[in-house]
Amino acid sequence: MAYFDSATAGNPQYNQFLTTLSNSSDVESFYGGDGFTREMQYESLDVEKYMGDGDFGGQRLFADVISRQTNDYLNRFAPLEGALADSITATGTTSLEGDLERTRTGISGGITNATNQFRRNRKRYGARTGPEEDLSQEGMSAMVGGLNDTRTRDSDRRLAVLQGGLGDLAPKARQTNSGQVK
Amino acid sequence: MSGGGDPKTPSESGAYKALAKQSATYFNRYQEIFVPLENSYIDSVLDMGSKNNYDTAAGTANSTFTAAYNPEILKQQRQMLSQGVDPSSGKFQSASQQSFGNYGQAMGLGMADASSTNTDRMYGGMTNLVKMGQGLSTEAIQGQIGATASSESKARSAAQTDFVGSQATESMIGTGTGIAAGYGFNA
Repeated sequence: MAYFDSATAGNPQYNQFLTTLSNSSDVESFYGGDGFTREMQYESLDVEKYMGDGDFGGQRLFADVISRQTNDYLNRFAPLEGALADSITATGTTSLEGDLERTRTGISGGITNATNQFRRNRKRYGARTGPEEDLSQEGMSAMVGGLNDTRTRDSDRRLAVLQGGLGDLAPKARQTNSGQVK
Repeated sequence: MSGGGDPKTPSESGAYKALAKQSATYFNRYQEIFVPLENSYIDSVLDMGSKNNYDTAAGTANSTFTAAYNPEILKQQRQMLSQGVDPSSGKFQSASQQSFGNYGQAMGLGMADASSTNTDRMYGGMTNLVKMGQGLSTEAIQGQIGATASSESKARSAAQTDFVGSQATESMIGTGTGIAAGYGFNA
């Protein structure tokens, strides 16, 4: 069983998950390499393992459960936490560039599509075709608004993650440590 | 209740052992039933960031806006024709250009919005995964400290039945917490 460690946490493969995952096989390899095994087959705990072994078998079994849970968390979820945290930038998230590019592509594609339809439409009516079908002004206007909107949404996304998307492990750990451990 | 050994050194109660076995049984069950489901969900969330998903989102937006705008544009043009407006006239050209321009803008912005929405969905899924993982980690902490404490409070009760008024009870419980604190987040 491969456990999460600091070397894995710093692996750019995890940090760049949003940009590197472009298809299902990438998703699979995201988990497959570098000793990070998500599909690990856990070995079942033997509930009777320590029961005949001295006076503290229950505590030993509890310790095994705790250890298994912690390792499972470190293997399967800690890298995702790290990736989510690393996706936060000073102004937004690392998804911004991809979203901006898709916004540009979408709007220019939409305007081109509409322009072509407009041209065909005019041909159908026997009207003259040429610069009359130019929709570049509409495209420019949409592009400015679309890019601004994409930036705003990315900034909102950053706040959403910071305001709770990263969970509350630290407060819980602090509370648990200060409140329950004597 | 279990006992035996040096009478001054109490062993665990039977209740404590039973709770430990219950905890281990639940964990085995969790591995068998829920881990595969969780893994499937993790796959689904990460796949939201795939190119295919973005293409699908954009394609759906494209189709939706086309289906909404094209019939309206045709309807508008037919009305103009029925009013005798010449298709080569400036009026027809101007109205059509405005309609196709609106259509192009709506389609482009719709596809851009679909892309951002898909990214939002992925982030929503990631935050769910983080919370899912921290639920597990919280369980680990609880297993380590809280669950031990919770179980110990039951165990304390059981132990007090066996060792009424004995300082050895507190000693035993303290040992349990000490062992637990040696693992995981307090390591």
